[in-house]
Amino acid sequence: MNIDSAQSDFLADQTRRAFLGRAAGGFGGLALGCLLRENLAAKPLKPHFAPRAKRVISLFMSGGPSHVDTFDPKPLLTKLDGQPMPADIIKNHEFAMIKTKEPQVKGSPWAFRTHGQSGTEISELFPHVAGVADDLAVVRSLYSDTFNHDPAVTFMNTGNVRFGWPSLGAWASYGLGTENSDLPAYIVLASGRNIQPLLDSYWGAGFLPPEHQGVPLRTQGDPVLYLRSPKDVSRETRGDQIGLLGALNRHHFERVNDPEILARIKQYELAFRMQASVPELADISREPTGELEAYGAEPGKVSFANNCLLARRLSERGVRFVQLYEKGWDSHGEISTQHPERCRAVDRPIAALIGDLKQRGLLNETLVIWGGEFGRTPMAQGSGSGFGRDHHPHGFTVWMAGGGIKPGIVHGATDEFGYFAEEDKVHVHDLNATILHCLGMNHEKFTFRHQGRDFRLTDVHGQVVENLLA
Amino acid sequence: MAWPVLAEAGHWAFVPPQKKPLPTVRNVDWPSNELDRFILAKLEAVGVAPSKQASRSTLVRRLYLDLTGLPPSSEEALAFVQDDSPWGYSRLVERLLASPHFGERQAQNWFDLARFADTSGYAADRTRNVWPYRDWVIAALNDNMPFDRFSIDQLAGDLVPNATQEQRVASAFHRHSMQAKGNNPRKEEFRVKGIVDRLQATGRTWLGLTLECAECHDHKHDPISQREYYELFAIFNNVPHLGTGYGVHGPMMSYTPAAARLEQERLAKRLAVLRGQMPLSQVKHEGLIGEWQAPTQAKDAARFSLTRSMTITAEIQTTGAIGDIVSKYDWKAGERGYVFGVGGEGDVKAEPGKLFAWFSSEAATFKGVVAYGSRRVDDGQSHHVAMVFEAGQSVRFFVDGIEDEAVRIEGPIPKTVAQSARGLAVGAGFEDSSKATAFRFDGRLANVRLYDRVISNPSGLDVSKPKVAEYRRLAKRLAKAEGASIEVPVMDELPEPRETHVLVRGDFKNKGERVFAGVPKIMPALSTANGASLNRLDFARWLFSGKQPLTARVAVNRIWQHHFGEGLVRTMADFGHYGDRPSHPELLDWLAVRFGESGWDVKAMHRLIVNSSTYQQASMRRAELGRVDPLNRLLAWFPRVRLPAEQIRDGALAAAGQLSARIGGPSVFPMQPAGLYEERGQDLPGNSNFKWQNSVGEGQFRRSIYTYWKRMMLHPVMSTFDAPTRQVCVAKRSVTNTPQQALVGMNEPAMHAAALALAKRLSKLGGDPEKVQHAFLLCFSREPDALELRQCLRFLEQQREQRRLAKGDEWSALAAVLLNLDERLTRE
Repeated sequence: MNIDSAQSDFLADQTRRAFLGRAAGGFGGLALGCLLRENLAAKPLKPHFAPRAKRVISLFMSGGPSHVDTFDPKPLLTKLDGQPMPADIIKNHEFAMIKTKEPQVKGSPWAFRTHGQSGTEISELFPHVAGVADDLAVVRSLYSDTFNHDPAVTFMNTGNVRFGWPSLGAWASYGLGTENSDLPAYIVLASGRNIQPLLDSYWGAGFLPPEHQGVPLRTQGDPVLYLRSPKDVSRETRGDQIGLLGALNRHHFERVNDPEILARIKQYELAFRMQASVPELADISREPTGELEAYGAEPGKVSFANNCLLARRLSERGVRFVQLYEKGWDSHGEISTQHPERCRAVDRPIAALIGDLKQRGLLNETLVIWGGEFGRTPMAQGSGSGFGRDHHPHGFTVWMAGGGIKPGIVHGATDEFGYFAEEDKVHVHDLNATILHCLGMNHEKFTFRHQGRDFRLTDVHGQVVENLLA
Repeated sequence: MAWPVLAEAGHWAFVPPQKKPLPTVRNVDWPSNELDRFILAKLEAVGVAPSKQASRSTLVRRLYLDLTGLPPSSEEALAFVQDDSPWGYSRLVERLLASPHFGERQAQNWFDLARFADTSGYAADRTRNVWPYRDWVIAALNDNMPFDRFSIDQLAGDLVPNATQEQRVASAFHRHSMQAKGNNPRKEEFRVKGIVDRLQATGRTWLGLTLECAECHDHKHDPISQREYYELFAIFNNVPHLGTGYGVHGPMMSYTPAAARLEQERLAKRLAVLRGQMPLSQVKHEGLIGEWQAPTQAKDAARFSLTRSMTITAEIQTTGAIGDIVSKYDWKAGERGYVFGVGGEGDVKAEPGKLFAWFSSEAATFKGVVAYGSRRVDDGQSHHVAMVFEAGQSVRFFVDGIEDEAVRIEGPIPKTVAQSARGLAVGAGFEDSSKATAFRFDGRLANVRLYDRVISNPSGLDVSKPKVAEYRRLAKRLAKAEGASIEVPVMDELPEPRETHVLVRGDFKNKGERVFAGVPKIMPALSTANGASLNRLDFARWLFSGKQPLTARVAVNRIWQHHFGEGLVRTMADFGHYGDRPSHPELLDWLAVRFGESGWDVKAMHRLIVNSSTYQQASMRRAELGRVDPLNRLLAWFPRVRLPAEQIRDGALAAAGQLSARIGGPSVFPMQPAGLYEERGQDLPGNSNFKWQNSVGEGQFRRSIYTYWKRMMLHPVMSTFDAPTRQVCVAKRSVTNTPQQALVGMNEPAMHAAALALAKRLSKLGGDPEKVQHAFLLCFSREPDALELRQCLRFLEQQREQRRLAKGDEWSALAAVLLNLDERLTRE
């Protein structure tokens, strides 16, 4: 048997198994991750309907930004500032950090104004984002199930509070494959102030084949771990090495006939290409000065601005899911200095990203999602000017823009205290169902068989929020 | 919803395994043992002949990797290839089964089930001392501990009558469930999730059942109701959950490595004799302002309100972990001053049984220093203890005349101590009351002396006397030996079981009906003789009761997977209705019965498998069988399997001659890129409190099984090659083939260093062809064929002449290629 026919037989075999939905059961199908992926890239799992978004950029504000200080104005809080929060609202509720029996209402120190044709109200913390208000669909009625950071981030990403489930990005990679076989389908970028750690499992593949997990692209050191050849190995010698590897591997393939060897040859060749393409991709210094300035990006630094610019470059090159983490939103105290600091870091870059995508004609096929793992309490934690706000999962804000999303709308509302989601409530599962919908996947049919059961991102819940769809 | 239990009982896995007569085969020469008859019969049924035997070089590498996880040295490989005696193979099998590295390799599989990791998991992800458990597993496997004892000790070693320290260490299997920091109202939730994890791991490891599917509702396709799930839950629900605030944890045990333990006992004996001859307490010093022979309370608050330096000495004998010796301190009433005693009044940061002292410069709120000694004094022996406080300078403790050099001091040392309105209590303390009725000292208390100044030698020992000098020397050695003790997580059982309820929809706050410990009806009954509540030990023994249909099948299936890459049942952890059907049901049953009959002899099971003809087949994929058996379930050829992460790294170190063969001990820190933890915030104080510091020297070259296993950020070399984070029980690893693996293999500094070391190793040999031949022996246990040799030589020449590499560099470039070849990464 020659190489080509062995490979194509084998691929046919793998593909069939993948479509039978049994890739996980230990068929050894897993062993051929890359083949599966390449093959799926050529023939992706069929979308359930026409996708409106080809890819996603998720802007994750890790730590939980305060909704009542940013996108969800609550004048009543200012009016009742300093008074006890009504007991019938907070009865039986536990808080992560607030321990006083009578926590006090706290008005926002920041003014809200309406913006754009849509008249969406946004606080002065986001002057640049306010400039693209007409592109956003602001969801003010999101709610979650859990109020500690790691379960809550895990819940937003995987639809489960416990570890071990695949993240949204991994599902997207699994379902849609990659548009660029030289890059991972799911890339993660991190910036911000270190308060909580970021965990590998936030972008993990859970029980999906591990190749679908997010690959962190570092903004210092090697962009991908171990991307650089050792100092004493030149590009030419590396090329020769890859050549010899291929020749010896192929020779051995002829002896043992295992297509896995052919897959390995390809991966070494891909790694060799990545050694050239990824540094070029990650190097933003050759972007035009105007572009760098628009984002506020400074080559060589670790910043959200740089990551936004990178996100655009990655999306342009067909990376399916780019997730940016900006750390440091967990303002239990000193919110009046901490939140402005974070907002300054993200405001201009986000507006620049949206504008840039739009100008390049990419926004209508790229879904942008902004939000954190929860909001923050309408009550103060601590007192005086050093006050902060505690974790708040019962009602908070995310916004979406771009592919498949109706622009310039506000969906849902919290109660007048900003405490509970009240009108047109959107559960995290609903949000995830909607995101999958934009990508052309029916969240109830998009499953993976594991341990004898078909699993989905939305477990047994979730409803697409039709009003958000364009 | 009721399940049709009787109908379900017919499912193959719930019927006890039976040994059927061996199948008859036409080719009677091929089988080496019984196992082969089952395999051959099925092959003959579809008209397929088995593959020929693999070459001897393939066999030697296969055996070494499967049994020890290490490739053979070039000498070992050559010796086997050249040994043409008919007993060569089985002799090698015996030698490798007896190798101390056998236990290391098999333990690696077990650790995926045990969720064995060095950190607690979740965001805090703190370090735990779990290496004694690792050592226990490796030793147990090397000693060929029968699988029933191996399992019972791990499920319930703490409950076994007269449990040894080792058995308690073994019980840590179920202390590897992840544990959150617990600084908030969800403490109970995380305790409950820990038990959910224990059930999942138990189901996957011993029962081959997805028990976890019944946490929130009745199991959808196996006969396990939600109620039955919580009856099992009740068995595991009785582990103490201790502490408050950040310090929430399960039971711990002080563990002393065996050598240190012997040393401690020897020293303690000699010291006890010497101590009796020391004139402790006999010397009184200047500045004595009070002396008491028994617990009492001096009412005069002002008289003993020392505000500057002071010294307190006492003779104590106690088994109480908490008790004040001298107190003028009432935190609850805001009357702080000073206090000295044992166990820190039970404070969360205090350590039971060890000396403590607090000094506050303000009475109403604490502002000052807390000091904790490092040595336990609650051992029931008589001790002379002393505390010396030098205002603004230091707090020192002495036990039996020897200074404690590991005192933990937190906070600034006050220049003046607050004046407490409390009278001076001896042998008790205060808790919101002017009467000293709290923190009573339980035991003998005498010669309690209070001085108003620093006494530099509070025990009054005269070190110029030889006997005193010897006493001090021995005591210091004992303190050092005691420092070798560490706190390790173990299991423990509450005296009274916790009340267990069905948790409605799995919500820990939503308690349904009460349930009692029990096992699902589909399985053999389990009850205690006297009607007492079932505990973990009963459950563990029941797994091996002989009537259990699953335990043996699941265990032999796992051993099979180890050698063939797939189990006879491919869903390792699911023998239920949605699981895979066995490819050879009669063989699985035959092996299961044999396993039980052998007294659960693990090495015998490995021996049986590797001595079979099935195992010794060549691994060439037979394309002509693509239609008959594309997945090779009939085993017409031996499956090639990519090596686990650990073997990929260890094999490179071994070929390079760098690998340390040392077994056991604490985890090590092979290099990883600088700044990796920092950029993800994994080093943050309050969370993991941990910085990765690369090991120096040998620690870089230990087997990967000793690499520090951080659940929230696994060493990148391990994770790149699919090692699981061990957050949850994993019965079967994924195997991927990615470009990142190529980057690690070619560029990771330790892998690159291995290539350099391999090149250096070759440099001592003769000409180029001889070097290439030796490199192949080291990497693949075989010599290159003509084509391979030619291509390697051409590469070397190309590097020298076209690339103009410095002398020697062409060899490291070639070594990197060989270490990365698919054949090196694969067990053939």
